[in-house]
Amino acid sequence: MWQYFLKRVFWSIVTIFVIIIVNFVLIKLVPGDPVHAMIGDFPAPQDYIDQLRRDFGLDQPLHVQLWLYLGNLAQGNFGFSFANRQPVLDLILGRTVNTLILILPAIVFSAIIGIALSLAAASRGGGFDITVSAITLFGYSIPVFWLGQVLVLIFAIVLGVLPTSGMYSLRAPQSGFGAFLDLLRHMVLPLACIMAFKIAVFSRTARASILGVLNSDFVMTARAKGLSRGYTLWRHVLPNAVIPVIAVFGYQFGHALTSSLLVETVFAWPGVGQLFVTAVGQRDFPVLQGILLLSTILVVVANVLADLLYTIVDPRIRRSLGARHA
Amino acid sequence: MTSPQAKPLVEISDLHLSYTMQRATIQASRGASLTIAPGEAVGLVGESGSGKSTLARALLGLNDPKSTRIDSGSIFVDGTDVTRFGERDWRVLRGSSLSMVFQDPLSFLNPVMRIDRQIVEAIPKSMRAEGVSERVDDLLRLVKLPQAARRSYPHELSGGMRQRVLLAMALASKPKLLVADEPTTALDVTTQAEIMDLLGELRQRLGMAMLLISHDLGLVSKACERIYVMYAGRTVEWGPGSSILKTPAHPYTKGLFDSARALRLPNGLFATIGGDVPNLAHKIEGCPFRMRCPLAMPKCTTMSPATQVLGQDGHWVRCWAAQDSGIAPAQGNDVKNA
Repeated sequence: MWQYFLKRVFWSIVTIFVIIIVNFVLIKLVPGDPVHAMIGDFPAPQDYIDQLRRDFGLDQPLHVQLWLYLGNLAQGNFGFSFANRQPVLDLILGRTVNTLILILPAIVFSAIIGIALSLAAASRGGGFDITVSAITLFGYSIPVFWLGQVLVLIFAIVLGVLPTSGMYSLRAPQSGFGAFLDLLRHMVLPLACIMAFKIAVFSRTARASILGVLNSDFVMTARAKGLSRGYTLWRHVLPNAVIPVIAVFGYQFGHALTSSLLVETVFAWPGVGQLFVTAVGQRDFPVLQGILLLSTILVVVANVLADLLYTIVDPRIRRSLGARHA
Repeated sequence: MTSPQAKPLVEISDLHLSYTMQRATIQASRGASLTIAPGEAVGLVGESGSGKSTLARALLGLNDPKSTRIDSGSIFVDGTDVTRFGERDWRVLRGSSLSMVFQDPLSFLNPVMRIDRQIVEAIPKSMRAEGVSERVDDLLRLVKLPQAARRSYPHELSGGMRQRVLLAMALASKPKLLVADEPTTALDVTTQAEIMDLLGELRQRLGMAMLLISHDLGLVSKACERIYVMYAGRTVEWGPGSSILKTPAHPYTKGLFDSARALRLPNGLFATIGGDVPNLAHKIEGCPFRMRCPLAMPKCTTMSPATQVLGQDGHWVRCWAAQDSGIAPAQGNDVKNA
């Protein structure tokens, strides 16, 4: 089994490496010159432009630039942000933490709520099931940026109970429990935005999976034993039904990173998504590359973790791995 | 042991049951009758699609209550009519008097739960006082499973061991009746014999009744005192196993025997029953077997055969052609080739 994971980690590293190269090439294909973006419309002497190009290594051929980039990455040097005049890594790490503060709870709570909803729908059936399906369809199809603005309009502007944007209030305590409460208040609306879609995804996946498991033969065995429906759902249906939901987990993590672009823009959340949008506008290529690389690593790690979770939940997978690699 | 006077444990009379599947209504039982005395071993034989499993599941209320309806007839278990039972009533009965083992032991076990947990669940609350772990030990010993199997998952066991696990679960409540729905069909021949021996031994030891469902007449006739033959949702012939074996009266039963013995016809082909089981979604006039019956006569198309007794030992048949009860097993049985 450990051999399986070593193998899995090895291929993850290969994946990350390939994506680094693809990202590098893609960004070089983007029209627009970073030096021009940096200088702006101000007429600069050609000498100055050439010197900037040399300083940033932009005068080298593409493969040399790639080689330099890889060499720098190996030393933990993600480059230097033209626009922010700050090392990329410092810039991204802080922002990534802010994004994860939003995304991780969103995914975990969405999974729990989504599975619970579909379990309740499966056990009640009828009208409740239809209501849940309707609500999830709504959450599935509603655009996140529109939902965000409507939520701000209702809760921040009309009712005035929650802040419109940002992560902290200036007048709130800087540390301790007060600061935590302040953060929570700022988190509510962006979290709701991300979760509206995520709950829908998880509950739809879980619902399909639960309905499948309900038709399994071992559920009839449970009935034949005289077990109650509630117990059967909880002990027999749920543990089997979550297995396919775990597969969605890793994928949904990547999707949440993407949706953070929109959500963080709407709510001015100082996360990596907002930084990405700004960096695109500024043609701040090292920052873009850095964010893409970091997201790649996060998504790959999330998928490896999902695989690990698989083997914990499903003894059949554990056994087949043990047999093959023992 | 099986005096006809004893109050039956199970009495199904003229049961008509239908279920809906993709908007079609399947009449799976069309006049099935069956009685089981306490401690008696009864066999139920028929082809796939003859309604045996539906009948067995109806006996435990395991058919999906949303799509299944009992149209007429009655099922008495221990003197109580269960045809109007709700899920709650059934649960009590299943956890105590009635148990069932199924055909494919792998799919009927929860793949992500250890064996001991699955057995523990089947032990009724009232029997947990003596210690759950000891009870699991007893059950494992009863079905001859090693203690090491306790902590296993179903996929780690062999087919025979899995069937023993199902059996241990079924016996956990000390049932009065064990319904075994093709318990050996998914197993290889040697394991099949082991499980059948075990079933027979346990039945003797625990004094419980058994309803053994199978398409294999030979297997059933060895294990059971009385046999019911089912065709197209109705019981067409029943009686003591020996009597049915010696003098099968219904042409369908004879066909089953010839197929089971892999009888070679003069032209070198195996004996089979030509044609197929009728589609139970359709209404059938007269005798449902007449399309495949070598003895069919005009009367069979219009009138459903009456039930008639043959001899003194409780051998019954529903067939116009068997009226004279003088048909010898091999005569008049020119089996068609499929």
